[in-house]
This record gives sequence, C-alpha cells and structure tokens, in this order.
Amino acid sequence: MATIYARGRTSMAGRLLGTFWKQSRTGAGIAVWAGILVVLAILVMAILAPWIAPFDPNVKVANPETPPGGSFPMGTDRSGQDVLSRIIWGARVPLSIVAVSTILSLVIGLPLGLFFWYKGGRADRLLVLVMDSVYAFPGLLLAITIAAVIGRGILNISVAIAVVYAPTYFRVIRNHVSSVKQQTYVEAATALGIPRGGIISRYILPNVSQNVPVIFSINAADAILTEAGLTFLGLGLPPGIPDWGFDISLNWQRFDYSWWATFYPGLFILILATALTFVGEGLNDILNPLLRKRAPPPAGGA
Amino acid sequence: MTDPLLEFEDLQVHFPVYKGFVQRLLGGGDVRVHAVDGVSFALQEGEVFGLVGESGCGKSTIARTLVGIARATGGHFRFRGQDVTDPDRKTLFHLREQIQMIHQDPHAALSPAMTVGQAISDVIRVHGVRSESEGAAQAPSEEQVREAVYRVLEEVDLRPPSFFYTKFPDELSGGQKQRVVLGRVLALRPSVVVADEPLAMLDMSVRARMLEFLLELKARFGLTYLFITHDLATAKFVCDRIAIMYLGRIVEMGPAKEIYADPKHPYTRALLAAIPIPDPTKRRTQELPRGEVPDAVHPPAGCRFHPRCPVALPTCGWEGRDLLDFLEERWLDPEAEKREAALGPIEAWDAEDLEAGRPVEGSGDAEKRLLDSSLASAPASLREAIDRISLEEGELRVTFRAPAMLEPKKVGDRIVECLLY
Amino acid sequence: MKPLLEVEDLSVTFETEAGRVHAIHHVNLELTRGITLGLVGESGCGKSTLGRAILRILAENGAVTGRVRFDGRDLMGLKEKELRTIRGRNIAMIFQDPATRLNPLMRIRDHFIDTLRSHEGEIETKDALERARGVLADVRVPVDRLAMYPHELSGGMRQRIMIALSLLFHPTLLLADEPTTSLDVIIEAQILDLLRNLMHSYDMSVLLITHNLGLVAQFADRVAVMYAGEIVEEGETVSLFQEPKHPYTQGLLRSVIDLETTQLYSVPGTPPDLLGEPKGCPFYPRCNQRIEICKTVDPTPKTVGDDGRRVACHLY
Repeated sequence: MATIYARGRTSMAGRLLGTFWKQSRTGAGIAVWAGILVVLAILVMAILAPWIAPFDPNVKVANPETPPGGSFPMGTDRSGQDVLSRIIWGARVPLSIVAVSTILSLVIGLPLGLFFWYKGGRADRLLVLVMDSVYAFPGLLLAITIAAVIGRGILNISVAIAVVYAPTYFRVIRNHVSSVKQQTYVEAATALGIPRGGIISRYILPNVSQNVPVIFSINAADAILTEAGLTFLGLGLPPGIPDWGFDISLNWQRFDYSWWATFYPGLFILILATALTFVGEGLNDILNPLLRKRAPPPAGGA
Repeated sequence: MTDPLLEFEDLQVHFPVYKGFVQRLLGGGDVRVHAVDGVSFALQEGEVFGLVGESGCGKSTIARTLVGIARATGGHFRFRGQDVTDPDRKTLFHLREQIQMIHQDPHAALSPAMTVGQAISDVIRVHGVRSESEGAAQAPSEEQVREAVYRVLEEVDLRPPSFFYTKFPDELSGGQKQRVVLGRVLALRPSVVVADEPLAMLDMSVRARMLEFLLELKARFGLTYLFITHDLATAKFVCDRIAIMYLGRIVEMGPAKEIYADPKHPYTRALLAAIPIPDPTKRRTQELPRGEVPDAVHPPAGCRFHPRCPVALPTCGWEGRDLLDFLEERWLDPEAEKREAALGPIEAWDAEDLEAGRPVEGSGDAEKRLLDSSLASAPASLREAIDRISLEEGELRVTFRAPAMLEPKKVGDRIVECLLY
Repeated sequence: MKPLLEVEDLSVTFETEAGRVHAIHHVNLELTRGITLGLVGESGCGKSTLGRAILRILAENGAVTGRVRFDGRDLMGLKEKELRTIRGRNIAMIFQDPATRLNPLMRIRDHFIDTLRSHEGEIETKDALERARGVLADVRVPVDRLAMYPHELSGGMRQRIMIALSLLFHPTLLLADEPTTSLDVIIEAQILDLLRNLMHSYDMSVLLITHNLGLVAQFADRVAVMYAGEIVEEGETVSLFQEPKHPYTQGLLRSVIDLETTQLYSVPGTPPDLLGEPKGCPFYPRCNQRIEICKTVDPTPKTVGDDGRRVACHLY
C-alpha cells in the first residue's frame, strides 16, 4: 500500500516534511505552527530591537514605577527604565544562550550517543555512568555550580546549560542506537562490506535522529527556564545587559508596588518556553505515527 | 572431484553468555552458547546445498559466519583453498565480494530511511562497479553508479528501474523487497549466495515464483547456493545435497533425493514425519519425539538427540539430567506423583554429569525401592545405561555409564552421526 | 443439530488514512459442535480479522455489520459487559505469538490467578493454583513452570500455557489464530496432537485459522478458503482437497510445495488492494477460468454437489 505522503519524495527529510505539511491542519500541526510563529515573532523582535524599542533600556526615562499607560505601555521599573524596551531588548540574551547551549548539547550528546555503536564495552559503560550522574543532578543546581565555577558571560552560561542537557541527547540517541544496532539492516550492511563509518552515518544516524527535532525543542524550552533561573540568581550576566530573568530579580521585591515590572518579563519567559514546548510536542505527535507506520507489515505476496 | 569452493572443518562458533556485573563477581565460570559445535562440510561450485534444521540448530550462525558477522571460535573455514577462519579487514572485504547473504525478512534487511536506489548504489560505491569482466574497479562516477543500479534492477525484474529507484521499502510488497535485497547482493557479483529462509515470509501461492527466480539467477550468474531452511519440502525440491543439523552438529548429510527416500538418522526421520502433508487422506502415523530442543548452553552429552530419540541406545549419552527429566515427565500424572511423593519434589534432586541424586532420611531403602519401580516404566535404554544405584552419605545416588564415542560415519552415499550405524 | 457458531452476512471495514479498507465482505460460516473447521488463506485475506470480529476484539477503527450467533445468541447485539462473560469462558482464543500475549512482568502462576479472578471474582490463591495445576497437567507442562517468567520458557512451552489458560473455563469453542506459525515443525506437530486430544477430553470445537494447507489437511474436518475478504469455497476437507472447485483453491493447492512436488506452480498476479468497494469477483484478475460476468458481478456462495460443498464462483 503506497504511502501517499511519500509521493515523489526521494529523501527521508523530504518525506518528513511532506507529512508535516499534510498534518498542518490537525491539532498537532496547529500546535507546531503556533509555536514556530511565536518563536519567530520573538526572534524578529529581538533582532529589530534597536529599531523598534521606544527607549534605551538602560536609561532612566521616567519616574520609577510608573504604571502602564501612555508612552509606557508596560510601565517603568523601579529604576525608571521602560519595561517594554527592556522586554524587547531582553529577548536577545535568552535567545542567544538557548540557541548556543542547545546546539552545544546536540554537538556533544549526539556523537557520544553514536559512539556507543562503535565501541560498546567498558568505555561505553563508563560514559553511561558519567552521563547518568549528570542527568540525575537537578538541572538548575548543576548549572549554577558550573556557572559559579567558570565565571560570568553569555558563552559561559551557555556552556553550563549545554552540560546539563547533553545527557538527554546522549541517552535518547544511545537507546535508539541500541535498538537499531540489532536491526537486520545494520547487519546486512555490515555483511555487504560497508565500512563502519559508512554504517554509522548512512544506516544508523538517519534512523536514529528522528527524535532530535523533538528533543531539541523540548530542551530549548527547558533551557529558557534554566537561563532565567541563573540570571535571576544573578549569575552569569555582566551588569547593564537587559534580560528577562534578571529583570525579575531586580523587581520582584517591589511586586506590590509595581507588579508590571515583574509580571511582563515573567510572562514572556512563559510564552517563549510554552511556544517551544508546543513545537516539540507537536512534532512528536506528527513524527512518531509516521515512524510506527514504517514497522514491517505482515508477510505479503511477490 | 574438483576442489570445493568453500569448506568448513570442525567449525566451532561459540557465543559468550552475557552475565551481569554482580553475577560475574559471584563467579559462575565461562558460560557459552554452543551455537555451532564441530561442523564439517564442503560446498562444491554450482550446487545448491541445503542446511536444514529447526531453530537453535546453528544454521543461521553458519550463515553469519560465512559473511563475517559471526567469528569462528574454533576449527577452519577455507574459501577457494585459502584459510579465512580469522580474516583481517582487507581479506574480509574481498571475501564479502565473493560470499553474500539474503535474509528471511526482506523488510528488516533494508534501512527504512533509504530508497531502493540509495541502498543499492551505496554498495556499488563502496565496492566499485562490477562488470562481467573481473577488472579491478576504480571509483565510479555518479553516472556509472546510476547505470549500474538500473542494470541491477533490470536483472531482478524490477521494471521500470526509474520507478523503483525512488521507492522506500514500505512502499513495496514482500516479493519486491526480496528482489531489492537480491539486487543489492548481485551488484557484487558474488560466487556464493547464502539464502537464509528466503521463502519463509512469502505466501504459499507465490513462493514458487520466488524459487524459480532464484534458480534462474543461479543459472544466469553461475551462483552457488547455500540454502538454509526448516522447510524440508522446499529443500527436497531445490537442493542437490542437504545437511540436517541439530543443536550445533550435522547429524546427516548427503544427496537430497536419497536422504528423503531413505532417511537414516532418527532425527531426520522425525522431521520428515512431522511435516504436515497437504493431503487429508495421509495422516501421520509415526510417533513424534518427546520434548523440545534443549538449550545450546549445556547440550546433552553424547548424541545430542538422545533424550528425545525413540530408538536411543544405552550408550547414546544418558546422564543425570535425563533421569530428572524422566521423573519430571512421569510426575505430570497426578496419580504417579502421589504414589512416588517420597521421591519428589523434583527440586530436591541434583544432577551433575553422569550422576543424579537426592538426599534421603534414614536408610533410604523405601526411596530406593520407589525409584526402582518407577524406573520400570523408563525407556529401556535409559534403564540399561544406569551403572548403579547406591545409597551413600545420606543420599540416593544414580550413576550412569560413560557414553560411547560419537563420530560422523560414512554410510553409503552419506555421512551420519549416530551410534545405530 | 443447531450449529454452535453461525456467522451471517458479516462485513468488516477499517477506516485508515488511506481510505476505507474492506477487510471482510459478506461472509457466511457455520461451525457445528464437535467439528474442527479450518479457515485457510494467505496474508491479507481477512482470516485473522474474521476471528477477531467473532469475538469483537477488533481495533478501534473497525466497523462490523452482520450477525454472529453463538449457541443461538447474537454476539453483535450484546453489551460489552455480557460479551466479556462469553469471551474467555465460552469462547477462548489463542494467538500466534504467545510471547507478546503473556505479560513479561508476571510469573506464570500470576497469569492463572489473574485470569481466574477476572472471571470468577474473589477466589482463594490456593484454589486458583489448584485449578492451574489441573490444566497444566492436561497440556503436559510441569508444575514448576508456574514460578517462572514467560521469557524463561521456550516458544512451545509458552503456547501450551496459553492453551492452558484458555482451558480454565472449559470453553465450547476455541479460536486458534495461527497458533503454531512461529514454532518449529516438530513442536507444531506436538501442539496439534495436543489440541486434538483436548478437543475430545474437553468436548471442545476448534476454529483453526492458518495459512498452512498441510495443517488444515491434517487437522480439520471441514475447510473454508478465504480470498480478499470473502469465503470462496467451503466443504469437507477430504473432498475439497481431492476435488477443489474454485479456481483459487485449485491454484492454491497446486502451488503448495510438498514432498511430492516435481514442478513449481504459482498463481500469477497478486492479491487485490482491499481499499474501496469490491467490484465483481475478487479473483477475476488472476483467474484462468474466468468468464464475462465475473468482472462485474460478485458471485454468491452456492451449494454444489451433495456433500455440503459451497463455492462462490460463476462457473457453477
């Protein structure tokens, strides 16, 4: 029975995109689209900050704790800075940290997960032990510890967060490799004389990486929260750079007097994290049925 | 007689049993699965050699050893005279261009993420374009690769090639997938093709077609087949010679037609009798062997088939374990179990090699008498294999005689491993 | 005598992403008490679906029309609660792969206790085990297996345990869906011998669903041949094998490779796609005896001859 999504497509990526397109009108599809749009909107907002932010975020522009209204749609914080401008500029740090750290996690975790196939044995068992220990550690705590050790700076925070999430990639990929490794087609490829490097890149990786977009999105969502937590605690950022988490730490004690200064940064953190989660969960719903369908059908005719 | 294309000499392939960390600490010694335990045969060029047996007999392991996925742990494996038992990487690479395998489940043998074209061209790119002339292959161009794939697709009757080139495995039928697998293998122009149950997953009404196709390919490309199957009927039709395997050893080997006409080994006879004949007027009359294939980690002593063999001799390898199996089966009947309750439960017994015993209270005479009476219903060969039943150190002990040496013997036109001959 | 099982005009369709699949199309079947009926066909013909439809254990996207009368009662009209008392008690089913049917986390004895408790409510553990030992003896499985987990047992042993579980309530009908397909030939023969004995000692009828013509020949009193969701021929085993009337049955029997085969034969073509409403005889494209009417009109089963043979073919 021909799989209609595959009509004319000659690559696996093409098929997945095709499915994705077809599923756009389902609940999962809508979730993914909504999530992507929100993330894009925030990204655009961050990029265009110098042009769309009404005020310089670090400059006192009005009386402190002015309620929202008029030229300050989100009011001002306790230092008299425009909250809206701080929101717009404040998107840059979380986005860049999350981007760098999730890519770093992927770059560290994925190859290590594949390494399992190559070696197995003692080296692999050691790696699993290390990864599991890191994984078991409460993420935020670990990030704090690493950040405290390696010092401040956007790159350093990214590294700290990357370390926290790398084990997730490692575990998922490794488990997948573990099951794929036993598959007949890997054995068949070996019997055909395909060298090991080729087997990893052409036979194992394509069949193992379907979960990556999902992990990526969910990790990103989580990373947003971790980053906010770190900056909230005052770790990592040099002063003078707007950041949502940091803003919360600046203003939360004055919540009764100027709730907007705490509320809006918190809201945006929530929006971004939720949007990324939608993307991840939606992708999961879409991609997994497709993969399950590829399970071998019962014996057939010639 | 010409030199064989391929031969095994006392081949052994053992796999270690993975024991957990803690278990290993507690000891337990070296435990291995004796998948192939001393197999010798020679494959002649151009023949169809059948390897027949039930699951666990080692036939699939032999297939995997031939293509280098499993490594021999003992004995010799020779190809065209060259010893390739423990090949280095380069030898293995070239060997794989000569010996190839097709699997039982064609869907599982193809990566779900690769199209037909990608799957076949990958092989061609790795090994180079093979043509009818045995020239050394230089790195082929993309155009040459594509041409070669098209040619292969035509050879396996997947026309038009351009249509199938872009298909993924889940868009094809079982038979089509099997042809893709065949094509992928033929791209290497091997001399030997190991077919591991190639028909098992196909419907009955189309098996014949695939079988004809396989024979056609054999004729066209001058292939030699090692045909692995549990289906004796198909093996009879298509094979020139067959070897019947049981638990890692070959029990009978010879020309196919003769073996079917006059099976000599009791296991061969049992297999033939068990096949359900699609003729309702011919119902099976022969008794089936008892029990199931035992595990390959601790195979039975002597002849491995002896615990199930309807015509076993006292010297076939009876040992402690067999006594326990006999008692256990006997006590399936609740009457017998009650009567001999003093001898039970089975967990109280302990068996090691040629001895079996259980602790007894007091003199143990009552238990001994019970044992004697229950042994009256045991198979005669088991009974006669008992050397003595003794009562010592508070234990009722049964000791068996050592079994006779078992070796493959030449009987007429074939080789049989059985003490009956 | 009133038949034990009567399937009347049964149709099953599945809604899939690719469209509506007509898995079973107006099937009629009868099983009399004490008789074994073999339902034979190749993959995709609908035989497994028929077995499941009888017990109403189809997947969610399946829709059933028609009637299934068991001992006079129409199962299609029953509520789930009433059906559950019949399922497992009066009608039992065993499947192809016992490994996936047994819970890997439960010991064998827990399987028995669980099954007994779901049907009979509160029952003492020791009574449950007593009954378990009883059926285990009937299937020739040693009692010490009760303490084991499914993965510690061989395939043949697991199937025997599945059979034992199905015998607990003395069902009058046993549906066996490819029970020996994953087993070796000697074990297969043992299991079938076992089933034959159990049929007598438990006074049970068996519906054997399989693709193996040899099994059907050896085991069944009557045979029904299925193709593309329809029963194309049905009759007494001996007579059907000796004189198959439907072209598909003839082709199928010819293509079987047995010990006497001297020439290979396969039915040309492939089974049809079950998507979309069937038009005409489903075997038309592959039939070598077809006539004009076969293309447009789906033949209804007719009684042919005087030994109870029914054939769905325009040639008769």
